Amino acid sequence: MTTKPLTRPRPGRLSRRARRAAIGATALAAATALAVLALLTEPGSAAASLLKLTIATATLGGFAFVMSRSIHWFVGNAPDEALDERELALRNRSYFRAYALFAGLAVAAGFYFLDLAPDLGLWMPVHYDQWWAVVWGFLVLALGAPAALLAWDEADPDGDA
Amino acid sequence: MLHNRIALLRTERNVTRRELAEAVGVNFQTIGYLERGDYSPSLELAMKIARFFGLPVEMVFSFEPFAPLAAELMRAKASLAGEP
Repeated sequence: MTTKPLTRPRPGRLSRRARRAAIGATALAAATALAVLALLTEPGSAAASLLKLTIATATLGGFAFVMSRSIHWFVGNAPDEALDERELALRNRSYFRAYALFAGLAVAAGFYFLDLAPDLGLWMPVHYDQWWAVVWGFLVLALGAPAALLAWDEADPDGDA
Repeated sequence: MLHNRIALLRTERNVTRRELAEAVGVNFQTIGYLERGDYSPSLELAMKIARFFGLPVEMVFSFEPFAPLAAELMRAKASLAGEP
Protein backbone atom coordinates (compact mmCIF):
# COMPACT_ATOMS: atom_id res chain seq x y z
CA MET A 1 0.00 0.00 0.00
CA THR A 2 1.37 3.43 -0.91
CA THR A 3 0.14 6.90 -0.14
CA LYS A 4 -0.04 9.83 -2.47
CA PRO A 5 2.21 12.77 -1.59
CA LEU A 6 0.00 15.17 0.34
CA THR A 7 0.65 18.19 2.46
CA ARG A 8 0.23 16.84 5.95
CA PRO A 9 0.09 18.26 8.53
CA ARG A 10 -1.57 21.43 7.34
CA PRO A 11 0.35 24.68 7.83
CA GLY A 12 -0.57 26.41 11.09
CA ARG A 13 -2.08 23.26 12.53
CA LEU A 14 -3.39 23.17 16.07
CA SER A 15 -1.79 21.29 18.94
CA ARG A 16 -3.82 18.55 20.58
CA ARG A 17 -4.62 20.80 23.52
CA ALA A 18 -5.87 23.58 21.21
CA ARG A 19 -7.82 21.06 19.15
CA ARG A 20 -9.52 19.69 22.25
CA ALA A 21 -10.31 23.18 23.50
CA ALA A 22 -11.83 24.18 20.15
CA ILE A 23 -13.87 20.98 19.85
CA GLY A 24 -15.05 21.17 23.45
CA ALA A 25 -16.01 24.84 23.12
CA THR A 26 -17.87 24.21 19.86
CA ALA A 27 -19.76 21.23 21.28
CA LEU A 28 -20.63 23.06 24.49
CA ALA A 29 -21.77 26.18 22.66
CA ALA A 30 -23.85 24.15 20.22
CA ALA A 31 -25.47 22.08 22.99
CA THR A 32 -26.26 25.18 25.07
CA ALA A 33 -27.68 27.08 22.11
CA LEU A 34 -29.76 24.07 21.03
CA ALA A 35 -31.12 23.71 24.57
CA VAL A 36 -31.99 27.42 24.69
CA LEU A 37 -33.68 27.17 21.30
CA ALA A 38 -35.66 24.10 22.30
CA LEU A 39 -36.68 25.21 25.78
CA LEU A 40 -36.74 28.97 26.07
CA THR A 41 -37.50 30.77 22.83
CA GLU A 42 -40.97 31.51 21.51
CA PRO A 43 -41.65 29.37 18.43
CA GLY A 44 -41.35 31.31 15.19
CA SER A 45 -40.01 34.42 16.90
CA ALA A 46 -37.21 36.58 15.57
CA ALA A 47 -35.07 35.46 18.52
CA ALA A 48 -35.54 31.82 17.52
CA SER A 49 -34.59 32.56 13.91
CA LEU A 50 -31.51 34.47 15.01
CA LEU A 51 -30.53 31.69 17.38
CA LYS A 52 -30.91 29.07 14.64
CA LEU A 53 -28.69 31.09 12.33
CA THR A 54 -26.14 31.53 15.11
CA ILE A 55 -26.13 27.81 15.95
CA ALA A 56 -25.67 26.80 12.33
CA THR A 57 -22.88 29.33 11.79
CA ALA A 58 -21.11 28.60 15.09
CA THR A 59 -21.15 24.81 14.80
CA LEU A 60 -20.13 24.75 11.17
CA GLY A 61 -17.58 27.54 11.72
CA GLY A 62 -16.03 25.92 14.79
CA PHE A 63 -15.84 22.58 13.05
CA ALA A 64 -14.34 24.13 9.91
CA PHE A 65 -11.78 26.00 12.04
CA VAL A 66 -10.50 22.82 13.70
CA MET A 67 -10.54 20.77 10.52
CA SER A 68 -8.81 23.39 8.40
CA ARG A 69 -5.88 23.31 10.80
CA SER A 70 -5.43 19.59 11.12
CA ILE A 71 -5.30 16.46 9.04
CA HIS A 72 -8.42 15.07 10.62
CA TRP A 73 -11.03 16.12 8.14
CA PHE A 74 -8.81 14.67 5.46
CA VAL A 75 -8.17 11.41 7.29
CA GLY A 76 -11.84 11.13 8.15
CA ASN A 77 -13.01 11.53 4.56
CA ALA A 78 -10.22 10.66 2.14
CA PRO A 79 -10.43 7.65 -0.19
CA ASP A 80 -8.68 4.56 1.18
CA GLU A 81 -5.83 4.71 -1.32
CA ALA A 82 -4.78 8.14 -0.05
CA LEU A 83 -4.23 6.86 3.49
CA ASP A 84 -1.61 4.58 4.93
CA GLU A 85 -2.34 1.63 7.20
CA ARG A 86 -2.05 3.63 10.45
CA GLU A 87 -4.41 6.31 9.18
CA LEU A 88 -6.90 3.68 7.99
CA ALA A 89 -6.79 1.99 11.40
CA LEU A 90 -7.25 5.35 13.09
CA ARG A 91 -10.23 6.17 10.90
CA ASN A 92 -11.82 2.77 11.43
CA ARG A 93 -11.52 3.20 15.20
CA SER A 94 -13.02 6.68 15.09
CA TYR A 95 -15.91 5.61 12.85
CA PHE A 96 -16.66 2.71 15.17
CA ARG A 97 -16.67 4.97 18.22
CA ALA A 98 -18.74 7.62 16.44
CA TYR A 99 -21.25 4.97 15.40
CA ALA A 100 -21.44 3.66 18.98
CA LEU A 101 -21.96 7.20 20.28
CA PHE A 102 -24.59 8.04 17.67
CA ALA A 103 -26.43 4.73 18.06
CA GLY A 104 -26.39 5.05 21.85
CA LEU A 105 -27.81 8.57 21.72
CA ALA A 106 -30.40 7.57 19.09
CA VAL A 107 -31.60 4.70 21.30
CA ALA A 108 -31.67 6.98 24.35
CA ALA A 109 -33.58 9.66 22.40
CA GLY A 110 -36.05 7.08 21.08
CA PHE A 111 -36.61 5.75 24.58
CA TYR A 112 -37.08 9.29 25.90
CA PHE A 113 -39.45 10.50 23.17
CA LEU A 114 -41.48 7.30 22.87
CA ASP A 115 -41.70 6.16 26.48
CA LEU A 116 -40.36 8.48 29.15
CA ALA A 117 -41.59 11.87 28.01
CA PRO A 118 -45.21 10.89 27.24
CA ASP A 119 -45.54 8.75 30.36
CA LEU A 120 -43.96 11.21 32.77
CA GLY A 121 -45.08 14.42 31.13
CA LEU A 122 -41.54 15.55 30.31
CA TRP A 123 -40.52 18.03 27.63
CA MET A 124 -41.27 17.06 24.04
CA PRO A 125 -40.55 19.03 20.87
CA VAL A 126 -43.78 20.42 19.52
CA HIS A 127 -43.05 23.39 17.29
CA TYR A 128 -40.92 23.56 14.19
CA ASP A 129 -38.09 25.39 16.00
CA GLN A 130 -37.94 22.74 18.70
CA TRP A 131 -37.82 19.93 16.16
CA TRP A 132 -35.18 21.94 14.28
CA ALA A 133 -33.02 21.93 17.43
CA VAL A 134 -33.34 18.16 17.86
CA VAL A 135 -32.72 17.31 14.20
CA TRP A 136 -29.84 19.79 13.86
CA GLY A 137 -28.19 18.30 16.95
CA PHE A 138 -28.31 14.82 15.43
CA LEU A 139 -27.10 16.10 12.05
CA VAL A 140 -24.09 17.80 13.59
CA LEU A 141 -23.32 14.71 15.64
CA ALA A 142 -23.68 12.35 12.69
CA LEU A 143 -21.55 14.41 10.32
CA GLY A 144 -18.97 15.76 12.74
CA ALA A 145 -18.39 13.02 15.30
CA PRO A 146 -15.91 10.82 13.36
CA ALA A 147 -13.53 13.65 12.49
CA ALA A 148 -14.02 15.33 15.87
CA LEU A 149 -13.11 12.08 17.67
CA LEU A 150 -10.07 11.74 15.44
CA ALA A 151 -9.00 15.28 16.24
CA TRP A 152 -9.65 14.76 19.94
CA ASP A 153 -7.59 11.55 20.18
CA GLU A 154 -4.68 11.98 17.83
CA ALA A 155 -1.34 12.79 19.48
CA ASP A 156 0.74 15.64 18.13
CA PRO A 157 2.98 14.34 15.37
CA ASP A 158 6.75 14.81 15.34
CA GLY A 159 8.63 16.61 12.64
CA ASP A 160 10.16 14.86 9.67
CA ALA A 161 13.84 15.14 10.64
CA MET B 1 3.88 -3.65 22.20
CA LEU B 2 6.41 -4.05 19.43
CA HIS B 3 9.82 -2.45 20.02
CA ASN B 4 11.92 -1.24 17.12
CA ARG B 5 15.23 0.29 16.16
CA ILE B 6 13.93 2.53 13.40
CA ALA B 7 15.11 5.78 14.97
CA LEU B 8 18.56 4.37 15.62
CA LEU B 9 18.92 2.96 12.12
CA ARG B 10 17.62 6.14 10.57
CA THR B 11 20.09 8.26 12.50
CA GLU B 12 22.94 5.89 11.75
CA ARG B 13 22.24 6.06 8.02
CA ASN B 14 21.31 9.73 7.97
CA VAL B 15 17.85 9.10 6.58
CA THR B 16 14.96 11.48 7.31
CA ARG B 17 11.51 10.30 8.28
CA ARG B 18 10.18 11.63 5.01
CA GLU B 19 12.74 9.64 2.99
CA LEU B 20 12.00 6.44 4.85
CA ALA B 21 8.26 7.08 4.59
CA GLU B 22 8.45 7.58 0.83
CA ALA B 23 10.53 4.42 0.45
CA VAL B 24 8.04 2.25 2.31
CA GLY B 25 4.87 4.00 1.13
CA VAL B 26 3.45 5.62 4.25
CA ASN B 27 2.96 9.15 5.50
CA PHE B 28 6.06 10.49 7.27
CA GLN B 29 4.11 11.03 10.49
CA THR B 30 3.50 7.30 10.64
CA ILE B 31 7.26 6.80 10.94
CA GLY B 32 7.22 9.07 13.99
CA TYR B 33 4.40 7.07 15.57
CA LEU B 34 6.31 3.85 14.87
CA GLU B 35 9.49 5.21 16.43
CA ARG B 36 7.66 6.31 19.57
CA GLY B 37 5.98 2.90 19.86
CA ASP B 38 2.54 4.48 19.43
CA TYR B 39 1.74 2.26 16.48
CA SER B 40 2.66 -1.35 15.67
CA PRO B 41 3.13 -1.95 11.94
CA SER B 42 1.56 -4.65 9.82
CA LEU B 43 3.80 -7.50 8.74
CA GLU B 44 4.01 -5.97 5.26
CA LEU B 45 5.17 -2.59 6.56
CA ALA B 46 7.61 -4.16 9.03
CA MET B 47 9.19 -6.20 6.22
CA LYS B 48 9.39 -3.18 3.94
CA ILE B 49 11.19 -1.21 6.64
CA ALA B 50 13.57 -4.09 7.34
CA ARG B 51 14.25 -4.43 3.62
CA PHE B 52 14.94 -0.71 3.36
CA PHE B 53 17.66 -1.04 6.01
CA GLY B 54 18.92 -4.32 4.53
CA LEU B 55 18.40 -6.19 7.77
CA PRO B 56 16.36 -9.19 8.91
CA VAL B 57 13.05 -8.09 10.34
CA GLU B 58 13.94 -9.42 13.81
CA MET B 59 16.89 -7.02 13.95
CA VAL B 60 14.57 -4.07 13.45
CA PHE B 61 11.51 -5.22 15.43
CA SER B 62 11.25 -7.19 18.65
CA PHE B 63 8.64 -8.10 21.26
CA GLU B 64 11.33 -7.51 23.90
CA PRO B 65 13.03 -4.15 24.42
CA PHE B 66 16.34 -3.91 22.58
CA ALA B 67 19.45 -3.75 24.78
CA PRO B 68 21.48 -0.54 24.49
CA LEU B 69 23.82 -0.63 21.52
CA ALA B 70 26.90 -0.21 23.75
CA ALA B 71 25.90 -3.27 25.81
CA GLU B 72 25.40 -5.34 22.68
CA LEU B 73 28.79 -4.26 21.32
CA MET B 74 30.47 -5.21 24.59
CA ARG B 75 28.75 -8.59 24.51
CA ALA B 76 29.77 -9.16 20.89
CA LYS B 77 33.35 -8.15 21.67
CA ALA B 78 33.47 -10.50 24.64
CA SER B 79 32.04 -13.28 22.52
CA LEU B 80 34.65 -12.78 19.83
CA ALA B 81 37.38 -12.78 22.46
CA GLY B 82 36.03 -16.08 23.82
CA GLU B 83 35.06 -14.63 27.17
CA PRO B 84 32.01 -16.14 28.96
